[in-house]
Amino acid sequence: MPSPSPTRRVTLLALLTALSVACAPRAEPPPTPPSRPAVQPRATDTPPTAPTPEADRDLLVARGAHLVEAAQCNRCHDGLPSGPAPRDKHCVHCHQQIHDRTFEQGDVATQDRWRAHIIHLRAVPSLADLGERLRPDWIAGYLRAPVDLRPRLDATMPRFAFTDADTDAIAAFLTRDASPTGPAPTDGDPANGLRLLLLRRCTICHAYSGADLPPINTTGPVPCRPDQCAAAFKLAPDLRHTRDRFRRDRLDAWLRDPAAMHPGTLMPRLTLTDAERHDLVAALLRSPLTREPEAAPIPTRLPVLTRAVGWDEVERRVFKTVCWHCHADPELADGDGGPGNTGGLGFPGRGVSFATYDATLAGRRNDDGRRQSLFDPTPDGTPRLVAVLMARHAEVAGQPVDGLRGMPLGLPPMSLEQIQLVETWIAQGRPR
Amino acid sequence: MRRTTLAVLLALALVPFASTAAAPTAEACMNGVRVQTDNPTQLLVKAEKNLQSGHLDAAYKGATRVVDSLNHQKLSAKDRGALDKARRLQAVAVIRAEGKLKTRNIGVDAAAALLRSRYDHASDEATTIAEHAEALALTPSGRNDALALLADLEARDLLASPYAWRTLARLRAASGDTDGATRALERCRKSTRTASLCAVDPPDAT
Repeated sequence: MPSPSPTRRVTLLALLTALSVACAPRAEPPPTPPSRPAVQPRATDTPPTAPTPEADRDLLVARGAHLVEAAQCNRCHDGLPSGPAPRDKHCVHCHQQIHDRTFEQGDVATQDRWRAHIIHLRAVPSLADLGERLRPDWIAGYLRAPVDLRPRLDATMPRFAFTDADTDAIAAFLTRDASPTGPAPTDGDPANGLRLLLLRRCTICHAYSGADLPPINTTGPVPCRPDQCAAAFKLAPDLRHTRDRFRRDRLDAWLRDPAAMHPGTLMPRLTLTDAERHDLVAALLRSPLTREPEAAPIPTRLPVLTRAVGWDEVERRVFKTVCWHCHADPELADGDGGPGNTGGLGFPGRGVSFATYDATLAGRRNDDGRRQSLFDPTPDGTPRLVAVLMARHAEVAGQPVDGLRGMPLGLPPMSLEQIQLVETWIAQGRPR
Repeated sequence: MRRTTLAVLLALALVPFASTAAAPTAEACMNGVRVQTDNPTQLLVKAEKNLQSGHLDAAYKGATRVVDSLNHQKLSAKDRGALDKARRLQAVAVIRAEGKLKTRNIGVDAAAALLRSRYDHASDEATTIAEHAEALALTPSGRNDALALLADLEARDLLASPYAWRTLARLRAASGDTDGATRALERCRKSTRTASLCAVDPPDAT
């Protein structure tokens, strides 16, 4: 992979340094291109030179770096130049350490109990080496409208509040080290490539939604060890996105030796002839997609319960299962009440806390700084808290709701029974 | 080879079930870790629960143990948060007991001043406003302001504490708003399992 030229490297480093010094994370808007001072030309001056495309790209990359920092992508993803977030703020490392028995807080019994509870955010893809693999236009689009790229991973990319210019900058940053684009292979037999996907057991981990895979009953060896396969299974992308997502000129090299392009990847190295690789590339890039992804129906809310529902039950079964992660008490956590309370992941602090009954009823902070109840009705009369929980169901069904960000952010929706509990509790006057 | 394949397939078959298992309490995250591993945090959580359920002496004692346990010369960020919370719990306990705690305490004026200071420095924090209003309501000169603050929170559906509802009920009863006082008392009873907290003794006329 070619490195940027020394001049570009110095320019980029200077821009990144200046931005990191000048811009406090979260608190300030991302940098915009500086306005150039108006200089009155003198007769002896040479004409001003226009900014070069390289300089514009460097500025875009620097802006992307700032946005990635502000959005705290390193709380989940590894592979960023800034390194991972501190363990106490790193959702995935914390969960992994508890599972690996390397977490140093809590006694053995406590940790064992935690271990049994941790389900989400134990595997997240690395953002290293993206430029060699992914197309920036796809990354930008994915950040604008996340799709279910990894159907077996229960967490998804959150819906952020990025503008199109933001996502372009982030994509430019994440692909900053990309080598020049080359020609994509045009030979290869897509039909044989589909057969190979099955025969080489690729479909153990990868879905290929929309493609008509041949009816082959495969019994060949699995290309990974059980522990590798379990992790790869969760992270494996749906291959229907490969034609838009992957660099077409690099797909052949990826299949030849994935670890050479992305060290540490869970994608195994397959023993393939050149012709077989070309067939696989053709299958990934050119096989007809005969079906659109099935739109999952948005479930209907369950009716409110007739029995009494109190705070203890709704806290234990809903608020303290997931909500508390991002809506905690800052006075008990070094001032960090989580992204949904004191701010983070690129979002301003909304002051929402589920730490206690009183805190839950204290509402959320609007853009104007004024508090608003979590139970205020939305236009259709649904309490706002219930509406955001249902909005997550809509997001997962591919139908995000304008003006409502589904909660829990990027995680599987609450069950309808959990939402029913919340709605019942609200309808009964939020008894303690 | 076949055994390996079976192991892989079995492992993969179990993954979706692991993901959809009922989610238990998030004990291992942020506040959860602290609550289970850090003694001052445990004391504060317990003190806050005592405060909310009307055990004011216990709440005050618990908060005081945290204040006394901290090295005030070298406060870490964690300590500062704990100290702020402990001081607030002490002050609210004193106000709610109207200075009649059994333990030696900081005094009503000091408690009211602390809650006033928190109110002055917070923009629109419902809990802070309600606690300041509770303190204001203890003095005749502060009752109009207290009533206005609590009524505003009620109108915005941001009032939570049974003590705040009780204060609102008392202030309304004192001003002749019987219906408003009744409404506030109903909400008071909803917000606590200690019904005795919602008894209405109108504030002194003094």
